[in-house]
Formats: sequence, structure tokens, C-alpha cells
Amino acid sequence: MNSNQEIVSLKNVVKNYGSGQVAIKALQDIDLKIYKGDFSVMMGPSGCGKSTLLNIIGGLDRVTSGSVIFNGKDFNLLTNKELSLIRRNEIGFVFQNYNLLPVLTAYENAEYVLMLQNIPISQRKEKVMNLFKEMDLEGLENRLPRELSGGQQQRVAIARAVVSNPLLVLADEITANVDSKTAQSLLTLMEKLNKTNNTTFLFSTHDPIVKNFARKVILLKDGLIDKEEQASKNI
Amino acid sequence: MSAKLLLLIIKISWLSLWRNKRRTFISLFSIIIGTGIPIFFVCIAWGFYAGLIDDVARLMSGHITYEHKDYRNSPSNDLWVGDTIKINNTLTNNDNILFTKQIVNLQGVAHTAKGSVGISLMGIEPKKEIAISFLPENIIEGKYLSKVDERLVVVGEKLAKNLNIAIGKKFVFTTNDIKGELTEELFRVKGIFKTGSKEIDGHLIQSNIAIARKVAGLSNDEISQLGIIVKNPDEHEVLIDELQKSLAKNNGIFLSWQKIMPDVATTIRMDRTAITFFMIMLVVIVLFTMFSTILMSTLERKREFASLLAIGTQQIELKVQIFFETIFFGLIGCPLGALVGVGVAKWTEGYDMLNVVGGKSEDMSVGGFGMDTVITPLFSAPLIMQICFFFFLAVQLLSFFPIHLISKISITDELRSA
Amino acid sequence: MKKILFILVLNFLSFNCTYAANLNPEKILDNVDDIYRSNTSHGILTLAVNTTNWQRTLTLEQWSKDKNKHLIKVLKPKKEKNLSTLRVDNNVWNYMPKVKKVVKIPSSMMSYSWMGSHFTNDDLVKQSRMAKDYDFSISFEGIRDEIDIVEIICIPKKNAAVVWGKVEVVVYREDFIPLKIIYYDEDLKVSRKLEFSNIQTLDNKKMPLKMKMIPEDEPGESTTIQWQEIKFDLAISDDFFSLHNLQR
Ligand SMILES: Nc1ncnc2c1ncn2[C@@H]1O[C@H](COP(=O)(O)OP(=O)(O)OP(=O)(O)O)[C@@H](O)[C@H]1O
Ligand SMILES: [Mg+2]
Repeated sequence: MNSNQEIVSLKNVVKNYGSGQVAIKALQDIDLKIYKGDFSVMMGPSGCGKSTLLNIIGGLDRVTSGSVIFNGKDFNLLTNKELSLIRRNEIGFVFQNYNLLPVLTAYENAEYVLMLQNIPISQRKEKVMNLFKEMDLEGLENRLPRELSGGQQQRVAIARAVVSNPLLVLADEITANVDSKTAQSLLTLMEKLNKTNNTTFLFSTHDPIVKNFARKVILLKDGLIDKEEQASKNI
Repeated sequence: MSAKLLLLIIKISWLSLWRNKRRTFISLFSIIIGTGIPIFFVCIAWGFYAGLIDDVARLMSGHITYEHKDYRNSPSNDLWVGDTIKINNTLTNNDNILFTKQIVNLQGVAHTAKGSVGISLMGIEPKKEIAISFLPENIIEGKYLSKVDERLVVVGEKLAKNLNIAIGKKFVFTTNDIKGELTEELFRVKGIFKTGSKEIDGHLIQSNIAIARKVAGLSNDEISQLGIIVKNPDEHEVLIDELQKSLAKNNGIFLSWQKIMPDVATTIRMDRTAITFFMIMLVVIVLFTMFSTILMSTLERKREFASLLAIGTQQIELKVQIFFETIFFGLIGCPLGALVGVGVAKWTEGYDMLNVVGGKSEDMSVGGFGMDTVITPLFSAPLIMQICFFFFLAVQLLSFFPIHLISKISITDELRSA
Repeated sequence: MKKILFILVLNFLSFNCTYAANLNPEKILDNVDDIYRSNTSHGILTLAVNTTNWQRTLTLEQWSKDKNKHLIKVLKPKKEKNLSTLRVDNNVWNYMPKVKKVVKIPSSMMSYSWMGSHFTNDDLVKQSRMAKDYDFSISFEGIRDEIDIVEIICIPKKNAAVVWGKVEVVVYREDFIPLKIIYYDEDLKVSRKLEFSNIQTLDNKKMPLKMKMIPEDEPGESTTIQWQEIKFDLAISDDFFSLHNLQR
């Protein structure tokens, strides 16, 4: 499944919060590459810098030093607005708390990203409906988030993240709020999307279930990459 | 931003409005109150003023008065205007003019055995006065004048009391004629009127214009004032200029009621200022409520906004969303407020204020003139729209701070603080 | 009352003791009107005002000429010294020495009290004759309260500018010197009384030196005029009654 197309390339990435003596060194010296079609998981103790790294890769946060090249573009050279457009068009996010828009239906939440991208209505409908069918969300289109279970909401959130076929989907602790069975099904779903659409996924998690699905595991410790290993499952 | 997206954003705004129904209702209620109360007051007050101005104009010397150019400075008996028959005839043919009234005013003193009171004798044409002024309807004893009455007059209720005179009784009127000579004339009371104004009831006497002319020594063509009642009091300024150019003789001048009765004009202006101030206070209070609502609803959605920003929503798109939320508040609240204000004003139409607030009609006076205490609201669409629009704008201004907050949102901080 | 004050304060005193064999009321009224008239006069008098709240006494010096010129100056008290009033025809001016100002009394002020007394500015100006404004008749003659009197009732003519409903004039039958004048309002209730007393001869003229005005509706109040001295038929020029002289 792995091609050699490099999507993300981090070089000597350092992230400090604050400055001087009291600076918190969240990331110390990270070199990391992510390739098209990867299904990778970042793990490590709490506070080791997983979320920070995800945010930097996703263009939500800026590095203190080092470089982030995303799909050939150097984040350091981009404005916030340009970063925002990259997020809109090339990256999908899934959050621990789903963060769906409570006033929109499941369908509309998924459609929202497509509307941001100014995709015509016919295509929008086709994409969303196909995806919903694939993700077993059929029949829930008109429900509001609060009328859905946590697992259903997370599925809608995943749908929202992948509906526009982004280059990279970043998922931070997405199983933290669901039971293991639901977690299992979410991961199965994403694995399927990874396989059928060749969508690249990068997870951060404590959840061994997620680890079980991963083809590559990145172990972080104190803001450094401790170990990078290919998961046994796919060897 | 595409039109579709804008529509979606507007839809999100509309739906977001109803996420906290209680809060939305409180805000809407405060806007409704904030718009409704000023509109109610303005309808009532402006109605009163319009009525008052018309009443006073008709009672005294019209919306426009033609008089000697120095008469304003000191209303002395020897400042008269001539050639008025011709002027009057021209005025009667003017379509903008409803009535004209010829007046001879004489300042002087009325004496009886009981005492004396400084008074103003107003010589008028009874038939016209009956058609124009409300004074003839306010005769509480005796009868109003007719053309044949020579030495008969109608006097104010307070004046009758102060002079201790009743119907049929006499008093001596002392004044200066236009040559400055002291003259005295005997009058008898035919009727007693009560207008509710201390000044008028205490100091005004009306007689036939003929006897007033005789006392003053004026000819048939000469009067103190020519009162003009116009069809549309709001547009009398233009008419004044026109009349001044075409009709005024060298010593005569056409003046607006504001100049003739500066007290009334000033009081009304001050009253209006007070109401405007009151309205602004209300606006501030309401806006404060609104502000906290809008701010709260923005603050509590910070994480939601952060996640929207994370998935690539532009700041401007969120700002438009918040802006539309306040637009919806204004669009619903302001017209509803206007409706409520107008409705309540309509509902009170015909009520006598005295029944509500108590007190005597004498206490209700503006610039010395008694007010009609029966509520007759004036519904001026432009004015109501103006207030609505003002409120609407003010509410919109409120959204600027929350909108500003959007730029300050730190996506990572908000997302972490789950 | 107006006429009387006017006469007393401002006019010359000269009455001739025509013996009235035939009691003609018009003649008697003319006599009362004319009783003090002469060419000129100059005298000193006191004006005592007595109200429920305060009393005060002014000493005044007065000059008059014909029926239409009068000048009055306050001599005492010191505070009001030189306060003056000038009347020429229908016009009255006041001079206030404190502010050095001459003020013309407008018609609207004519009915106001003159120097706080029970007389008004108007009383200074009024000069109509009783006989012109009233219909009159003798209502009593003979002894009343041991005095031989003639009483005349005056009813104002229909359109005469007179506030009274009736005026009663009582004179001594002997010389027509007034004893009292009673003013009634329109309802024929007594409004005020003017009482004359202290008949003496000054500068060879017999006259009541004291005159007291009693308003009926203010019990206890009165204004009393008392002549101290008076001289008649002196040579006083018209120029004397000028605004210039008022301020001197
Ligand atoms: N905005 C911030 N200001 C200061 N310190 C921060 C900030 N964000 C993160 N940190 C610190 O940076 C370090 C890395 O945090 P990060 O959230 O990336 O850890 P994490 O690996 O995601 O932990 P967890 O597994 O608990 O989610 C932590 O020590 C954290 O306290
Ligand atoms: Mg984390």
C-alpha cells in the first residue's frame, strides 16, 4: 500500500512553549516523514508531545525551529490564511470530542467542508451519500449531533474529515470517548477508507486497539522520537 | 465566499440563534422593550405636541403670525400692522391656508371694586373664533361672544375669581391707545371660559375686534396680529418665506409659531430632548443586556469555533456568522418592538391621562398653555422607522466586539481544553 | 376715592363758602370735586400706611399746578429720601435715587399701590368729575349723629368707566366740606370708606386736614393723609414739572 510519495517531512522540529528559563520543551528535535497511504500511530506517555506534533503537521500550530514540508510546501513560508486553506483543502481532522456543529444535521456537517471548498451541490450530495453508505450512516442524515450516539457522532466526524478526499487525515485520541467495541468499528472503518481510497492517516493515541490497526508505530518520549517501528501485523 | 456558502452561514447563524432559547428570548424581549418603549413614548408625546401646537396656534395667533416687526420685543399696543384687508384676502385664496384670524391685542389692567389684575384683551371676530379656536367650546358659564356684543367680553375662570366678577358684572379696563394716551373702558362679562392654562384663564379676555379697535384707536384696516392657520404645520417655514416676500409691508413680518411662542417651542424641544435622552438610556440598558448575550454566546462557543477554524473555515466566515446572528436579533426584535409600541399607543388612544396619573389639568401645561390630556398618539412612519433603524444599528454595533474576539481564538488552546 | 386722593395730595385747596340756599346735588358734587382746586399749591404732608403686617409713615413735599401737574418728593424717612413722583397729564414717572433711574409707570402698573399705600398710581392720574360719570340725587338732608348733613347717592352711568356700584357722599350742610365718602361694589356691599376730619384753616382756607382711607375687605388696615402745612397761589412755572426736576 505504501508508495514512496512523501506527504509530510519534518526536519529538526523544535517546539517550545514560553521562552527563556521557564520554556517548556514540548518537541525537542523531531525528524519524521509520512508517506502517502500511511496508517500510522503515535504513542507515548501523556505529555510527550503527541498532540503538539499533530497540530504542527496539521498547520494548526507553528514550530519554534526546524521545518515542516507538507506536500511540497514549507509551512514556515505560509501565512495563517494560506495554512487555513491547506487545512480546508488537503487535511482532514478528527477530534476526541467529535466537535460537530450542533445546529447542523449529520448530513450537513459532512457537507460543510465541501461547501467550504465550493463544490457543486450534485457532487456534494453524491460524495456525502456514498460515504454515508460506506460508513453505515445511512438513515441518520437528518439527525442532529445530539440525537446520535458518541460512536455515530465520531463516524460523522470521520466522514467530515475524509469526504473531500484529503491527502492526510489527522486523528487525535479519537477513541478516548467511546467504548472498545465502537473503537474497533471506527478503526475498521478507517482502515477500509485507507485501503479503498488510499487516504493517509496519522493517529495519536493511548489506545492499544488503535495500535493494533497501525502499520507503523511512532513512539514519542519527552518530545523526542524514541522509536519508529513497522507494526508486526503488516510485516 | 460563494453564495451557497453564505447561505449556509446565514442558516447556521439562524439556527445558532435558537440554541439557547431562553437567552434568545431574553435578548429579543429586551430589544422589543428597547424599541417599543421609545416608540410608544414618542407616539404619545409627539401626538400631544402636535395637538398642543395646533390648539395653541388656533387659540392664539396661528401657526404663522403677521405682526409689526418690533411686536415680538415688546408687545406694546402701538405696534400694529396696516393694509390687512388686502393681505387677508390674498391669504384666504392660498391653498395651504385653512383660516386666517384678525386680532387686536391690548395689554392693560382690569379693575373691579375688589382689585385689579394685569390682563391681555384680545379683540377677535367671534364667528371666526368659533370656527378656529377651542376657546368658545370651553365656556363654562354664560355664553360666547357674537358679533353684536359691544361691551361684552368673555373672561378666564381664574381672572373672574381674582376680580370677583360673575356673568353680567362689570369691570373697568385701563390701557394705552396707540398714541400712548391712557384710556378706560367699561366691560361686562358675557361668558367665563376655562382652558386649563393658568396664564390664559388668569389673564386673557376676549372681546369683539370692533370695540378693541375703538379702545386702541385703530382703523378697520389695522390690527395687532393676523393669525394664519395652515393645513400642514410641518411645512410652514417655506410658506413663511413666500409670504414674507410677496405680502409683507415694510414694518410687518411673518413669523412662525416657534418665534411667537418661544416658551412652547422651547418646552417642547426640551421635552423632546428629555425623551430622547430617556430613549438613549433605554438603549444603553438594552444594549448592555444584548451585549452580554452576544458575548456569552460567542465565548461559550469558542471551542466550536476553534474546531471550525481547524477544519479550514476562514475567520471572516465565522465573523459573518456572528454578524448575522445579531442581524437576526435586530430584524426580529426591532419590528416587533415597533409593533408593540405602536400597538400599546393605539390601545391608549382616547384615554384621559389624568385618570392614569391623577392630578389636575392645570398642572399639565407646556410653556404656559394647558395641554389636552386625552391621549391622541401621532403615528409618524418615518419617525418610527428611524427609531427602529437606530436600534437596529446599535444592536449591530454590539457584534463588533465578539467578532473581534474571533481573531483572538487560539485553535490549539481551545482544542486542548476539552 | 381716586379723585379725592388726587385732590388732597396734589391739588390746591381753595373752596369758597358759597351758601347753598338751594340744595343742588350737582353743585354740591362739583364743590366736593373743586373744593381743593386752585392755580398752584405747595405743601408738606404725612402719609401713614397701616397694614396688618407693617406700619410706616412718610413725610412728603408736594407741588401742583392746574389740574394736571404734580410733583411729590419724599422727605422722610432717610432711606427713601428724594424718591419722587411726577405726573403730567396722564403720565406718571417715578425717580429712584438709589439707582438714579427714572421709570415711566406703564398702564399695566397703574393699578398698583402707590408707595405701598392703599392708593394706587391710578389715583394720581384720575381726574374725571363725579357729576360726569354718575347719576345722582339727594337721599338725605338734616341732622344725623348730631351733625347737619347732606347725603348724596351717586349711581354710575351705564357705560361709565367706573368700578363702583354706588357712591355715597356725605357733606356738612353748612359749607359742603366733605365728611365721608362711601364706595360700594356692584353688589352694593361697602368696598371702602374715606373719612375726613380735623377741619382747620390754613393759609386762610378752611379744610379737613386729615383724610383716612379704610378698605372694607382688609380689616384693621388704613392709609391716613395729614396735611402739615400748605400754601396756595405761589408762582410756579410749568418747567418745574419736568423730568429734569424730578431727579434733583
Ligand atoms: N499551550 C501550551 N502552553 C504550555 N505548555 C504546553 C502547551 N501545550 C502543550 N504544552 C505542554 O507541552 C507538552 C506536550 O503536550 P501535548 O499535549 O503535546 O502532550 P500529549 O502527548 O498530547 O499528551 P496527552 O497524551 O496527555 O494528550 C506537555 O508537557 C504540555 O504540558
Ligand atoms: Mg494529546
